[in-house]
Amino acid sequence: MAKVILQSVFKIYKSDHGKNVTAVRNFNLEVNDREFVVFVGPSGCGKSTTLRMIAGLEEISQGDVYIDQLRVNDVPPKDRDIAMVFQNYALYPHMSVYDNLAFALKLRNFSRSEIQRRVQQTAEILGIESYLDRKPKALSGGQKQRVAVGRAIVRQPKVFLFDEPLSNLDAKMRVQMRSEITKLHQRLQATMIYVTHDQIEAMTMGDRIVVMKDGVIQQVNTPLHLYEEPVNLFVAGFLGSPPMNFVRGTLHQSAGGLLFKESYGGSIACNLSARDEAIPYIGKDIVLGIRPEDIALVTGERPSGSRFQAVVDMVEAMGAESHIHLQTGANMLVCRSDAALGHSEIGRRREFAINVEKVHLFDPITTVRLTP
Amino acid sequence: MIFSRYIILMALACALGLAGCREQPAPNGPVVIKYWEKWTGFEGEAMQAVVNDFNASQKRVFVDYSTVSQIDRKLMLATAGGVPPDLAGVWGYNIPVYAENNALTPLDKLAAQAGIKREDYIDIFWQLCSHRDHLWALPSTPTSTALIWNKKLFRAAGLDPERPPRSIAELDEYNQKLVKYRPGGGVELMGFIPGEPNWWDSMWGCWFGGSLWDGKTKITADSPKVIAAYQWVESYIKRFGASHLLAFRDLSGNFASSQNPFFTGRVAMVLQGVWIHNFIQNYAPPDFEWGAAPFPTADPETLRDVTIVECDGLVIPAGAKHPREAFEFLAYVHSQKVMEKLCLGQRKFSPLRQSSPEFFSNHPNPFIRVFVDLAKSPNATSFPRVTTWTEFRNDLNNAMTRIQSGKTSADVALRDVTTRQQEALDRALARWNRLSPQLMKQWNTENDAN
Amino acid sequence: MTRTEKHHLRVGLLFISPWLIGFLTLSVYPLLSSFLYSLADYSVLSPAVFVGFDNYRNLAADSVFWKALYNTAFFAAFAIPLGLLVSLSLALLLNYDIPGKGIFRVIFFLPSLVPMVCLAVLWQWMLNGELGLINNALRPLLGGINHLFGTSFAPPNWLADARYAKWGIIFTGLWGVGQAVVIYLAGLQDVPRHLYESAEIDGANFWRKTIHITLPVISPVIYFNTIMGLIGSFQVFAVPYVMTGGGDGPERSLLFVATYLYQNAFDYWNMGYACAIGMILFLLILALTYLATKLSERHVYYAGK
Repeated sequence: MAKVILQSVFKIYKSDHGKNVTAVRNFNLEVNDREFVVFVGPSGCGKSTTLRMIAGLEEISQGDVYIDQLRVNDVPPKDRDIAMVFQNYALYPHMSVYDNLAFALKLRNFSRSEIQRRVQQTAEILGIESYLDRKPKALSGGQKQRVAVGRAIVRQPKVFLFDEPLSNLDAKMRVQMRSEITKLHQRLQATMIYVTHDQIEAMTMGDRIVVMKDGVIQQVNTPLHLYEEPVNLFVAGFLGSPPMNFVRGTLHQSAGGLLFKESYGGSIACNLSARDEAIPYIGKDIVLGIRPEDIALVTGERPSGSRFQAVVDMVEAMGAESHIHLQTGANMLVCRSDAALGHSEIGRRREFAINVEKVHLFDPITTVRLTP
Repeated sequence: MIFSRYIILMALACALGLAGCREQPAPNGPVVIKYWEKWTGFEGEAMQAVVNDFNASQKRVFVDYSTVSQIDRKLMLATAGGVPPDLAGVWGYNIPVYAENNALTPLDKLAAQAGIKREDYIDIFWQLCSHRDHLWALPSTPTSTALIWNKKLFRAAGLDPERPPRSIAELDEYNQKLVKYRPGGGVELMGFIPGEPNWWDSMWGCWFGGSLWDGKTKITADSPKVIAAYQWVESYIKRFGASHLLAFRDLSGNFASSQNPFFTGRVAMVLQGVWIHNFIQNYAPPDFEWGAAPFPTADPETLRDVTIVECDGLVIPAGAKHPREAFEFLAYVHSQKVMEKLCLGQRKFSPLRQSSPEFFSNHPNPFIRVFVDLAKSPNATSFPRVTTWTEFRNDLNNAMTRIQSGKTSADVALRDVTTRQQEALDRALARWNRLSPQLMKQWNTENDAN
Repeated sequence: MTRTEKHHLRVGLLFISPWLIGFLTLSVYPLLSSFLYSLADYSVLSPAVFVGFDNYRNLAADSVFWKALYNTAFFAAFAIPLGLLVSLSLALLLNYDIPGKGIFRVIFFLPSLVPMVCLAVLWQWMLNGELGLINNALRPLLGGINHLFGTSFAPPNWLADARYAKWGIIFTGLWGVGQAVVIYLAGLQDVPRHLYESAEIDGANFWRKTIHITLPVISPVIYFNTIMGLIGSFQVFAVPYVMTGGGDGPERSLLFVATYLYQNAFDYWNMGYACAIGMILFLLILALTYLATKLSERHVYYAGK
């Protein structure tokens, strides 16, 4: 099993007009042995390109890639001992499922019995034994994806690469495959790198997540750490569903410490306990970030926290909880509440409370989160 | 089915042509005669000049002259489609097959009315235009063949440049004196090589007195004299090697060029026609010296002045709209003066028995008399007047290539030809026997009508 | 049939009528009439006389027809695979992403624009044993070999020597592969890139990718080109006809079925016989196409099916 290291990796394309376009900039990462790392980011952020550089399908413009301590920049894909699962499965359309699985082994001159053993084993793992002799076009999307995954694991490579493998599946199948891949990871104990634009996949599957934007890594950490301590507005807004609420305002000195006041006539005014990191922003603009679960609908006395009035704009009942969209006068916020709120409440003014402890503050210009 | 489509397209083209033909000229305008001819170049120009003279000489008939490629096939299809031209120049050897397939108008009566008689013509040309006791064409562009030799090469080999070989044996002797080998193998210079050029590969028998059929129903391509002729061809293959002679055959593909092996001095003697003079003028070196004489025969004591004669036939296709007017033009062309102008222009001799002294003194070909005399010889011969000739000739040419390959002996090759061609002729005769009663009657009526 | 259905039928027929009329007059009618004429003694100008299957009986006994058939089969047997190999290889090369590939594609397609007759005349000279470019190139090569090994190879007189003449025609045919190359190129563009990438990771080199990905995926195109090649080869006519000046070539080595058909129809006044040859040719191509379809069924992969 193997470690994957990327050192100062760049991908620079020549555009049609002769200009250089940097798709990936100064990418540094160490993927540990048996780790499941997810690259996440909006489309065009360079996550797939990075994966394809690891696979050897794209040339590395600058920097080095190591797999199991071997520099692989000039090693062809077939010799990197990796396997890749593609978004559109890339199953060989003219081969049966069995042949699809066996293809790589045949090319590597495995014995017939070994091929059969491995294919059988893989088929069992993925539950595809019953359609080994079907052609891909006779399979459903989920079945195809299983075969594609099977084709990767049959080789027992050092590193698995997944390039948005679930995005062609319907929602239900996606959830199912998600957990299957996670279980597979636990079972195979292999190094896996997984690219997705779906933050739920990233949060639920990854040991660590690499958040990328415009070819640059924003933050690398465990899902929870990213959720709790996003490094900037982008990461904060990208992870979590519904995403973090951002409120622009100004910071004032007050008796109890600091007072945040929403700009543009919004109704939020909240007292923050003394925070050293915010002191330079007194009298200046600042962005306050608060996750939906940290805003609560006030019923009676509870909960405590910094209260404000807002108009209920819309209610999404999710069953166990509701997402309440509320209008402060300047911003639309989302509040995740246990309390069921009837549709009759829409248009009414209600009182909400912000859990001050969970407030994040960001520099509006650099977008960086203020940390002590 | 590409060919079926081809036929349909031809039919459509003919239908369009038909529409054009139906456009009658204004009541007082001249009758327009459509005349298809195959010649281009100076031969075509000469005929065009004659047509222009005719059109200028009177106002009733206008000859519309046009050059048509692959005239034999197009004439067949146009006639089948009912839209033939009024006049066409076809290859002489095609006249029998056209006649038997009812493609032509018999000219006997028209010729008699115009005072055109057999006695006026060099007899073999009249024969070439007749078939089954009817006259089908009037001859033009007549030719005969002779031995043409390079005098310089004769001199270089120590031969008398004014004394060409007269017998086949002598020809072989001359060849032995003229031949030069290449140091690395192969032949640099041949005195003579049967099959260079390959235009008369079907006719070698005639220099040995052989005949390819009995004139009626029997193919005799395997008669002893014909076999002897091709065994003579075979002797060259044996002596010089098939592959070396093949190389020469490849050269003959470019007859009309300065690379013609006769002009470049790689062959000293060739069998050629009256036209060779034009090609020598155009493609041979300026100091080329040549002579023309009757081609040698196997036995000059009993057989001399043998030549292969060919001519075109000017025919009026069956179903032509204006046969009388077309013949009026034909008769004009066949007056001695006009014919001499035409033949002078085409650098041939006249098919008429009489030619004026000026014709010979004005003729550019210094050996024109040799060719005329040969045509008048009782031993002048032509392609056999058999309706299956195209096929027959193809078979004989093939036999020649088999012999030349050195793999098949002359008698085997010729026997194969004879068997096959006898069957072909039998089929053609069966067709004729089926059609002839009706055709004979029809032709006699047509003659009377005209 | 309801009124609407009748109406739809009428409109449908109206819309396909241009094809329908063309098909009936230019394909069905000639096919049927050539079958009828094949049962007759027919010289075009005199009326056809029904003779039953005489023409077919004569054909069966006609050694020249068998020779033509042999020549045609020989030509097809080598021209089709060779054409396939050359056009496919060219297409694979031209599919490479190299600078100026557009120019290369044009260059390789250009010869296909040369009319058949010009092509034939051109190659007649190229293949000339004494003066041809091919032998001018071969002579020093063979000279070198002879010098090294003491052999005595000489360049052949391509078209004048029955042993080589058909090869001359086969090579000439390769000059016209541009059409097939263009069709292959179109097919190659349709091979999904990710299949190559997947195969690359699976361990395939260029050769294996070609065998296992490219060829199976473009197999319908190969099948199409093969059938077209089959039909074209069995109808080979213009090039040998021009090269031999309308003859049969040395020892009939260049007499093909279509040439023999043409000779009988237009030179020998045996249209009935020619039609019989045409019918045999038709049945032969039909049978071979059927055979090719059956044989390739398991190897041709259709994405849509």
